[in-house]
Amino acid sequence: MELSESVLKGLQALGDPVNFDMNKFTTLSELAFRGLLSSESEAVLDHPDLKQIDPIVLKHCHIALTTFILESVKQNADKSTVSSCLEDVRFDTERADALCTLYQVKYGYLKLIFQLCSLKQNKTDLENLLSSIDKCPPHITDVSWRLEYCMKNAHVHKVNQPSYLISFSVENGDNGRSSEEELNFSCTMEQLQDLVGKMKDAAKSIEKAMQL
Amino acid sequence: MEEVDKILIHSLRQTGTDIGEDVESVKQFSSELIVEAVVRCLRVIDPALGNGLSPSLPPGMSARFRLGMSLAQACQDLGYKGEIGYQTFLYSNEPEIRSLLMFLVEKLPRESAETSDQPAGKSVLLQKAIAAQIKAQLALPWLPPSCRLPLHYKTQTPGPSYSFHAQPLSVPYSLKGSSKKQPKEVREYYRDYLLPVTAQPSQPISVPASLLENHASELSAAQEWENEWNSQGLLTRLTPEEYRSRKRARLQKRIEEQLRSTAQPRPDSHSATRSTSDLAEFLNSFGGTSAGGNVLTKGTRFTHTEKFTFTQEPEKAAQQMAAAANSLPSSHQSEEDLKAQQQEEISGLQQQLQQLSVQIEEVGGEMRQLTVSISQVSDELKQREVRNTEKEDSVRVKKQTIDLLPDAENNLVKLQSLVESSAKRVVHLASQWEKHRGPLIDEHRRLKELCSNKEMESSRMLSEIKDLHDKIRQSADEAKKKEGLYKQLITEYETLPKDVSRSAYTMRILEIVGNIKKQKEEITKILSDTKELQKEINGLTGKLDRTFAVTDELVFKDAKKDESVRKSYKYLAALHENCTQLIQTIEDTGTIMREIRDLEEQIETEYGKKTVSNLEKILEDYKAIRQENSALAAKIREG
Amino acid sequence: MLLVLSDEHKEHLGFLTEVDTAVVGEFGRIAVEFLRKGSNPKIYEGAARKLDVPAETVQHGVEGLMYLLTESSKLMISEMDFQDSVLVLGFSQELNERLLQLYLENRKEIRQILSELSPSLPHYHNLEWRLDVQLASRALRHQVKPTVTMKLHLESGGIRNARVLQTDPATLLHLIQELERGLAELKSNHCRRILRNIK
Repeated sequence: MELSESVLKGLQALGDPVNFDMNKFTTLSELAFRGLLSSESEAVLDHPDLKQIDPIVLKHCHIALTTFILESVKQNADKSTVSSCLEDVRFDTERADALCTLYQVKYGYLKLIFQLCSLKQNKTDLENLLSSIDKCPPHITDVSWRLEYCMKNAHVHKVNQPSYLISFSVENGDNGRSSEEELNFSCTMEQLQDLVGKMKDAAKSIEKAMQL
Repeated sequence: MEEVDKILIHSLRQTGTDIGEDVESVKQFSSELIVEAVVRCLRVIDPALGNGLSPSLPPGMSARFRLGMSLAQACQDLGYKGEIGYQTFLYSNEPEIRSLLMFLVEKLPRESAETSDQPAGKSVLLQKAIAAQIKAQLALPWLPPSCRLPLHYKTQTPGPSYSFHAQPLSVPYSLKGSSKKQPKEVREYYRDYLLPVTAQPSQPISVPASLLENHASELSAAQEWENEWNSQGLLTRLTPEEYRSRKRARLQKRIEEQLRSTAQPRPDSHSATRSTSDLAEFLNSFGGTSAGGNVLTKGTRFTHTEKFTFTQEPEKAAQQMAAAANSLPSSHQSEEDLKAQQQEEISGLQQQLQQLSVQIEEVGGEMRQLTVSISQVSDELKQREVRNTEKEDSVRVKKQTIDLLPDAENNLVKLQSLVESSAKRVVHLASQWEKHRGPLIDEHRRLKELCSNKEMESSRMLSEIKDLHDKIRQSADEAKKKEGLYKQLITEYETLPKDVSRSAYTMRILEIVGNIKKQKEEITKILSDTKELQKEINGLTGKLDRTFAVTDELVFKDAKKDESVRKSYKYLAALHENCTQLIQTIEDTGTIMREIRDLEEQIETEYGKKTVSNLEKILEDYKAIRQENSALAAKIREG
Repeated sequence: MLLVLSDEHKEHLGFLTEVDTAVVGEFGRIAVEFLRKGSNPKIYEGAARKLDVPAETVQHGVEGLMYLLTESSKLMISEMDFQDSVLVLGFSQELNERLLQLYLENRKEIRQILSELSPSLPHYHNLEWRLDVQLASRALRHQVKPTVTMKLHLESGGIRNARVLQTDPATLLHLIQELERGLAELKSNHCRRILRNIK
């Protein structure tokens, strides 16, 4: 997983105990998740715990953390990747007061890793969020059918032919609005057999793919 | 043998041979099974060799024979030393088949070990993942849309979907680095007014898209910079900041030149004068700010272009407004009047416009003429001035000569001495110059050499640095690859069944080894027993011989004297002879017994070869071939 | 079931008794042709000139035949019924035979043409499918999302249009199951009884 310089810097600032002690760190990471998952994100950073921090640093850290979370979900990074990534960051923060910093940083990042990886709910929610940024054709969700027997119509008598009326329930989720729609068409028995045969071919190919 | 057969059957099953559950030993292998097993093994060992062979026995007798021959040939090609021919496959006997299969199976593992060293291909992994996903989806029962649980939402319903809509974000840091240079106002904005980044986009769903996009663009910019720096920047031997500023200056110069060339004041267009003046002003400011090299140049440029394009607008707008205001009060007049008035006004205005444009053209023409004449006049002026100065010079020279004329003699001498002294001074100066020049040139040469040395050194270092960069990148790539591999192998290892019978196998092997050791001990014990027995026997025979010799001698001596003793001597000889005969017979019986045992073993092995059934089979096959041949002959005759 | 002919119709067809049977045969051919491809007034005029009668009479005759054929085809009346119905017109035996021949020969085609007039819903024409697996998107890498993408071609009044749809494996299996139930229904006793009894 690659991270840009600004994100790395933000993460470093986040690991700096001068800016964030454990409480503030936890608060901010929780806020970052909440900011992504809930729609009311206006007052994300108005938490009382974060009042003393320089707003510029706070905003920078918030962006870095949010980007980091999104990026790791996007790349489907596992625990080891996340931790190795964070270790890279930590290397740069080694300074004179390395011991103290190291401890703090380690603890903080462990907490972050914990948040990212063991709170599966967060991850799946974020995955769902990201996978919803996508386009796909309308989705068939169900089908209903009606068997009719046509006897006569205005122009021909004694037609006496069975026919089917098929109705596909189609769901379309474009632009965030899920809309249901019915797709109706009629077909004769032979045509229905053809349709079912082709669908069965598809099912067979799925089965084949499953066996590999 | 059971153990061996189990291992054989197990490894044959792994090669894809379809061995029934009830088959437990090689004895139960039919011809078909043998052929299939051998062909499968061959295919694994050497695909080129095995793919030409069919794993099933063909129905025709002659085809079977050919298949057997080619199989035998293939096995021999692989290096099988034992006796092998078509009969091995068609009329099998257990030990031969076992040794053949053992040979093939021994050949197997090395090949498959090599392939198993390689991690499973990406495509295989992908296919596995797809299969797993489909399986998982099908494991969930289908539910009508109205009663779906959240866990159906990912698969059976598409859910809402959004387009990837990224918006520019305002971030509280500049990508170009140092935040110290930020003006106070910008910092104030960042501190007090900038919204948190999640609140910036207009829709919450755009937040992730915008953030990801922002990050990607930052990354790609960094990457591009790195590429450029590595390919070109390093060679210029500047620090990154210097390189950047130089590049910026170069670009600005280029832009400036381009703008200047397009904005050459053209005398024919009247309206252009204003814009060119704007442009010139802009260019000036451009040149001014370029020295500072600030990001804000962008801003000034834009404000200027804005000014440039929009300055004419307000005037026009004001005129239009005024016209509208004029027409407003007369709105109570009748429509027709209004129309007529407007028509009149329009025509009047048009006339005026035409007049004005004609005037403008005229004026333009005049101006053109005037500018041409002005330039002509100024040219002339310059020429005249040049001529004037020339003339003034000549006048001055002439005046001096005239002044000197009256005292010509004296002046001449004076002049000559002056000339001489000057010449002397020149020579003196030249010698002095030579004196200084020598060391200076040497110094220069030395410095030049030093310089070139340093240059060489630095270029060497540069190339080293470049190599190092490459190496670093390569190592990083490799490390990444290795890490991926490691992860993949770990997952693979985790998915592998944990209850491999490896330990059971080793246990078995150890047991067998122990058994063999025990057997060996027993054998050595028996051997030593036998040896002891032999020794005893030898000792006894020796003793017997000696006793007999002594007795014989004693009795022979006595026999000369006594008739009865002679008789007893005879008996003794007979006894001895009989006894040796007896021993001989016993020994003979032993050898015969051994032979019998050998023969019995041979009979057993012959039984193992299924000779009778094989003979029957051969007979049948012979008949079949005869039939085939006759059928073919009949066909030929018919044909 | 007999065909009930209106007086006007009878009158129009009455013209046919006055001309040669060959001409009637030709008229019959023209009538069938018109049913197939639409009428052409020029032919009326040509025929009228040849027979020396007003073009209108010819037109009435041909159109009468067309109507007779369509009505009888529409009702699918039997051979006997057709003969009995035509009897009213008082044609010669030969002419009747000819008409019957014409009717029997073209009945199937005329029914086909007529059935096209009936109101129809969009009709199934074809289905194309492919198995897709979505592996990544711009916002989310490393996904595995198997879908079946289908292109459903529908036909409505001679115009074809296609819709692209998709579904997941589980739903696809459900769709197949449901539609097969539909197909099986046709073979059920209930349906067969109805098919047998309504003829």
